[in-house]
Amino acid sequence: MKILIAEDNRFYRSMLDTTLREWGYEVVGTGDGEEAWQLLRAKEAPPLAILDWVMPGLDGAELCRRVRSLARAQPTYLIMLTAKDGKANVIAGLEAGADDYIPKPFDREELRARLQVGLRIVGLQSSLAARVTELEIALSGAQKMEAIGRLAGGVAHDFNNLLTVINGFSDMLLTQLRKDDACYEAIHTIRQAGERGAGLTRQLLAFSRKQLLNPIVLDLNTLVANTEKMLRRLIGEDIRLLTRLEPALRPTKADPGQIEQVIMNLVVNARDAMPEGGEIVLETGNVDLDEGYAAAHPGAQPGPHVLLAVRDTGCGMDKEIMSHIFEPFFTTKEAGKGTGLGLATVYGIINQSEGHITVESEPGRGTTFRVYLPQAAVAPLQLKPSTDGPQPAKGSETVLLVEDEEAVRKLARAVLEASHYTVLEARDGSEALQVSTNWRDPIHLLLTDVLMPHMNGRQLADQLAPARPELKVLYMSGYTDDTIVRQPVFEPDNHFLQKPFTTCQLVHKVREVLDGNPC
Amino acid sequence: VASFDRSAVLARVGGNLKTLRDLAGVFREDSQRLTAEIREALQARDVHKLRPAAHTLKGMVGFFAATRAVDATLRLEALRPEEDWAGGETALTTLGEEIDHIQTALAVLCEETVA
Repeated sequence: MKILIAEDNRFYRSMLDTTLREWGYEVVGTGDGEEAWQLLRAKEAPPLAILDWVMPGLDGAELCRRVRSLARAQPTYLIMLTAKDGKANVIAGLEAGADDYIPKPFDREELRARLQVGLRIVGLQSSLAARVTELEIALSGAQKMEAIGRLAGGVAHDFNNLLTVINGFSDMLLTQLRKDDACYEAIHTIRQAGERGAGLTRQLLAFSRKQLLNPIVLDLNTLVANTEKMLRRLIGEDIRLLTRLEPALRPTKADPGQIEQVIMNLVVNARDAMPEGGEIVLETGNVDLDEGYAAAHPGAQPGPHVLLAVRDTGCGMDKEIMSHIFEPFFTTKEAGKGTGLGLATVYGIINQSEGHITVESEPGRGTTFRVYLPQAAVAPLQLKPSTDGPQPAKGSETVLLVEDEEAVRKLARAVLEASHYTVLEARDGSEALQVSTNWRDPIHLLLTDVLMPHMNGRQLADQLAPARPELKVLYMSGYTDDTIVRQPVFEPDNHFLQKPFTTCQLVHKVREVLDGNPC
Repeated sequence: VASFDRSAVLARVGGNLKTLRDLAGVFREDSQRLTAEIREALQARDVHKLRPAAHTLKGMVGFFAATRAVDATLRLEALRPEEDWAGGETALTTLGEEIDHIQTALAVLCEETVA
């Protein structure tokens, strides 16, 4: 440990130098206040300085004031060692910024003890400063991800409206054209591109935590076991997949489809890090995160959690890459080999599920992702394999369609009319109320956008309800941000259609709601 | 020898005789230089030169627990331009004598410990 002695009295400087070296310290000495200042302001300044008060150049008190005015995290413990004794001088020295004040002649053992105290304090300050810096970096990373998420969510929302129109009208045209029609192939290609676009916006919404999730209490082990077969197909024969599942795993609450997506994306990421083959280990466990952990990891909450770790023996990555891996469109793969949305999607899903993800890696030493999901208070439901819904059916009911995006409105109207529904159309809530007032016959379904100017979908449904108590409601949106999710729209007995939807999905969902099937 | 606390001095160097000998050498050279500076300052009635020299010397003699020498440096340090400068000369004389005592005592102590 290096100590600076700023003492113009050669006698004391010599004695301190000898004594401190005898105690094992590295010593740098000067008899000039200005030179001491240059040493103390340097990047590698000694953590502790013993300062005489009366010195040529700068005196000790002024040195203290200058050091204290430095805007840096690196602490310096300052001891005034001076023949200026008396209460007034002690107070003046401490007020100038000294941490301790020792009058000359000093007691050797007392000096040793005070040095130890000083170095202990400066050690604590250094640890604290390093911790604060780490937290600031983590926080700024979290804020950056939040900003990117907002941007991505906004883009995805706008694209969803566009894609609804592109895909919907493409579907309609394809059903009307013969396969040998000159336009069929071109429209089919547009439809495929639209589907890819819809896939990308779904991932962007996942990253920006604006997906509509259907969380249920589940057993993560069951989920891992259910996906294992598919994962083995994904990773190929050169990679071994091992699972180490905690037998007494706690339940957690999450959207099983989304967690499957998380597992798949992490495993695919691991696979891509091992072009020469290797090993992937999927591990589950019970973990209790304490307050200290939560404080050190922005976004993490203390309490009992379920852990899912995905570890690979691949090429690993350096800190610079690690600091970007969850950003959308960041990829280390060559152009065209990855969208850069896989880990961004994972990040979004886990955060939206009130969980937390960490990554640990070193170049050449593999990577481990750890996903922490909060423990659920109740036992898990039995997961059922997903099944395709019934085939779209036509109907004869009347649908009040409310949508501020004209192209989406046109599409929905065309699709529903093609299925023999009677469609009443409105651009916003006020117009919808007017249409309802003017329509004397029953309206069976309100199909409404959620976010609209002046009146949102939920408010519209509430205003229509007294006059039309039998009216069923189906909400649609390309955006499920927190402000909407917090509304009662998404209570279990409500129905929701996520944009972009296909014509088939629209017809199917409308029929389902009209028939009173569960959402 | 007056005003010299042997046990205090040995404690301050942790019983390290090499350190004590080194310090004795520094004290010999610097006390002569500082005494000369004080003398010149008194003659020139220059408190700005007098005070730092007296202050530095105060710290050194204080190390040896030489109370009479410390008192003399305090009187010198406290001198004001309008005051009796003859008192300063007296203090310097006392200081010179005490420094001689300290050097003698130091020499004895170093020889004793070597023996």
